[in-house]
Amino acid sequence: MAGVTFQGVTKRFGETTAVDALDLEIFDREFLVLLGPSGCGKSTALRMIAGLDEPTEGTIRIGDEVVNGVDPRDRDIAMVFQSYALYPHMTVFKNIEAPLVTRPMSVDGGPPRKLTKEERQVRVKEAAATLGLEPYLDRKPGALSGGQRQRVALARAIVRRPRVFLMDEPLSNLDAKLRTQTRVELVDLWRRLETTFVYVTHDQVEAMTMATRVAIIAEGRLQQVGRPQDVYEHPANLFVARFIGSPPMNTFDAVVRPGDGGLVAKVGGALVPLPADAGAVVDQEVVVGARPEHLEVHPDGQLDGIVRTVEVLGHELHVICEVAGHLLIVRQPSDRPAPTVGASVRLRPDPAHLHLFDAATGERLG
Amino acid sequence: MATDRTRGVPPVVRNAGWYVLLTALSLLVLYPVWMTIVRAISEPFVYIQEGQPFFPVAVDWGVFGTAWADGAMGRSMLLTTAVVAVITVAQLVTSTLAAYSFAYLRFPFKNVLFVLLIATLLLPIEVTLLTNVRTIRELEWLNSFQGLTGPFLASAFGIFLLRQGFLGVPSELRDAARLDGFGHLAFLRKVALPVNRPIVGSFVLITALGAWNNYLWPRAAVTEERWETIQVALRRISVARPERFNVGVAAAIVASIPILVLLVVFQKQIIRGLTAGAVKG
Amino acid sequence: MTAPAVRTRRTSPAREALLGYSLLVPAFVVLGVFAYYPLYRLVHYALYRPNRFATREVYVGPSNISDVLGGDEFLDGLWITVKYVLYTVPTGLVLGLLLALAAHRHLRGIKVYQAIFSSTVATSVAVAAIVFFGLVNPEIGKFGDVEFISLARAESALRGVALTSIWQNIGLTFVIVLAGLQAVPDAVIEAARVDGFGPVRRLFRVTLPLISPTLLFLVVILLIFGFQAFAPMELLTNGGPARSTETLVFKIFRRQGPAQISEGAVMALGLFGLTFLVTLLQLTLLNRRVHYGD
Repeated sequence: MAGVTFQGVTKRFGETTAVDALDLEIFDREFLVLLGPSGCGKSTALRMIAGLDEPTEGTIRIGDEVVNGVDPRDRDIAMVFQSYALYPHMTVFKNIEAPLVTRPMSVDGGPPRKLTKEERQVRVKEAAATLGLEPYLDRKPGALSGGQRQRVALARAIVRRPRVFLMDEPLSNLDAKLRTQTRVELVDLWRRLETTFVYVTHDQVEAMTMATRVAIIAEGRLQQVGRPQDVYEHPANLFVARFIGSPPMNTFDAVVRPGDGGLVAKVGGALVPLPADAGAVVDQEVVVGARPEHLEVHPDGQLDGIVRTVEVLGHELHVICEVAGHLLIVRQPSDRPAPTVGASVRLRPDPAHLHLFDAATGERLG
Repeated sequence: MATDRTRGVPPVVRNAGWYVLLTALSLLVLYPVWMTIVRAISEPFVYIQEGQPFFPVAVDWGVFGTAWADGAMGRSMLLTTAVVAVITVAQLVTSTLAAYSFAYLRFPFKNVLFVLLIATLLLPIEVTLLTNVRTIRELEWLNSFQGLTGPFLASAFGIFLLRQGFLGVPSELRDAARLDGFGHLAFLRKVALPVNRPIVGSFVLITALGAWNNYLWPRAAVTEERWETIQVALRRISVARPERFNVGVAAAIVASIPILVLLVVFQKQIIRGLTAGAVKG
Repeated sequence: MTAPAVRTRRTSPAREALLGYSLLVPAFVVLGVFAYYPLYRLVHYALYRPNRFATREVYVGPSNISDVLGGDEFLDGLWITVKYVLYTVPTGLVLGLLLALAAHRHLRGIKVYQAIFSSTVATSVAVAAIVFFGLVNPEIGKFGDVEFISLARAESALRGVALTSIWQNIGLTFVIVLAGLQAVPDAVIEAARVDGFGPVRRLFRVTLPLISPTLLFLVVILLIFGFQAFAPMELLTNGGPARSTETLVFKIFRRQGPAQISEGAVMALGLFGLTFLVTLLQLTLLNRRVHYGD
């Protein structure tokens, strides 16, 4: 079992920089999710752990050893691909067996050697049992459903008992219902195997529900790494703030002005008081962030807006208002009366949950 | 309101019409074949005297045996089979190796080499005939196995086809194989070729078909009777002896049987090979 | 229990390049010896004529090339080849189209007809020639005295020979056009029907344009076959009467001896040029078509 460390890792493909000076430590046995939009470099980072791509600069370690230049098959890792990458012409059994055939392994602490056919069979059956695949061992991938194929890909990964599991968007090819079910099963598997999982996805719901820590990547750069709750409550920059959370955080431009008892953010004509430790200076252009659950429709609210539409979700309402040229979403419990469309309302942000970001850099203030 | 009339003709009549047309068109293909068979089994003088009728006259089924024996067809069929086998296997091997290299390996001047390869499609045997014959003669390969097979041991078409197939293997599958510890040979044997079995199969069949039917090169590369492949031998057996044309035609029929069998058994794959470039997607 | 095994360095670019080149060696050796080397020698023989005993060579230079290419023999051969192409390609295309259109429908037993139509792919040029020998040969052929295709007269002999290729090509053209038709989505044809297109209009406005890349591909194949015609001539007329069926390849074939090889080499280079032009045509036309079609 081992962790993975990125030290100053950069990957360039010709003119494009896919990964930019990545410093990230992935702890042993944690479930780390690399989260980010398409093309942000997260898959490239994963492939570099696997050894399918090599860093242009920087070092990657698995455990304590530097693995730059080491062939993928010798890194003791396993990978589950987005498309599962099953060998279409081989049976499920042979697919799961494939990683065991050519590689010498150390058995019971002895020197590494090639496994015998019986030994391979035992391990394959074990892996198949863990994932409930015993009835399908003689079938070919073409005869299996999407969910079953995914489990075969997982079985092929666990059969070698590697020290790190890599997963590249494994749920994206499943339908919604299966996705939820498989999410639970994957986390369950992680607990049982007690091995490091590095998981790539663009879906923040997956990230938030599965990860022990989330690493958000955008344009090849690490934006923030932390536990899901921390990332949610204390986003390090505007990108993270907007990316995490559904519905997304409301953001609006403002200028910091002095006000009685402290600083205020001037949003259009409204003045929103800022907490004392906001970390901003007067005349600074900022972006104010408030999550939909931290805004409420209230007569004492500082923000003037017009209700554009009300979305009824059953357990709550989303009131979407136009305020100073921005569309803001307010989450409201269903038992509170909904404002009428077109009505003028006042919105009050919760001062304890205001986020402030520098307008130029996007960095968090305070 | 217009009368509710079905378009013109009721289906039964329309279908009958198609059957008539299709049968008539079939005659286009089948008439020469039928006449050939009739000609083969009819005694030649009687047949011509009777004005070359549609049905056989003075039938002699022994003509096939005569053709086989007189034309030493056994020997030339055997020779041709051996030549075809060697050519097919050789093309498969050289094409697979080269296609693998072009598809999966990186090396300088790869594009230049590929263009050079494709350019040989502009040099069919018809163009290079004279000097290839010269080469064969200088190597003393006239009337030899090497002479018959040499120019066809590699094929740009085959390399092109297999390369397409190899490139079609999803890259994630290649990555998975790499992670599973497959080296080049293992990957070729266990993944790249099996996944491409249809293309490889069609290629093998088309190559074999072409090699069996080849006329120009064996005609030029061979001067002794015992080195004649079946197509070249047919010339000697048939058109060179028009007075015994029934034997010649019988020989042609016998010579076509292996290919007909192949066509019947592997119809799907052969058609796939023939239409490979014709239809997109 | 697993433990990491041997640490191997990944294959260096140099080793990969070495492997890459070595895998190309077999194919390139064969093609080098039997495609490029002969080409080089053709050029050599175009410029150097050997004497009758092949003991010495005389430099005849580029003027030899222009002389031969402008001379009667080559031009006759070229013209005969072109005529042959004109006889075989349009008819082949039309026949293939006709048969494929007829057989592209859901009828019981249609597969039988499809099998019949495609059967001539099993014939070799030699067999096809023998089949037609029995039909059009002036002495023993059933239709040997039909004037239009008579092999006995220089005027018509080529047409008689062309029948062989036309018949033989039926199988291939049918198979290819049928594949093209089968690739046309049913939905498009049905949409045309709903839009009120009658069968003729559907054919010309919808079907044919949609299969035009396939037809183009077919034309190129038939063109190449036509340019390479040899066996039918050799077997049916031996180039006669009065050389009226001597195609380019035929003339080249007859010039293997040292005294004629120089002339033959120039002709071969001429044929090469022709093939090159046709291929160029194919690439440009096909590319343009593909862009519009997609």
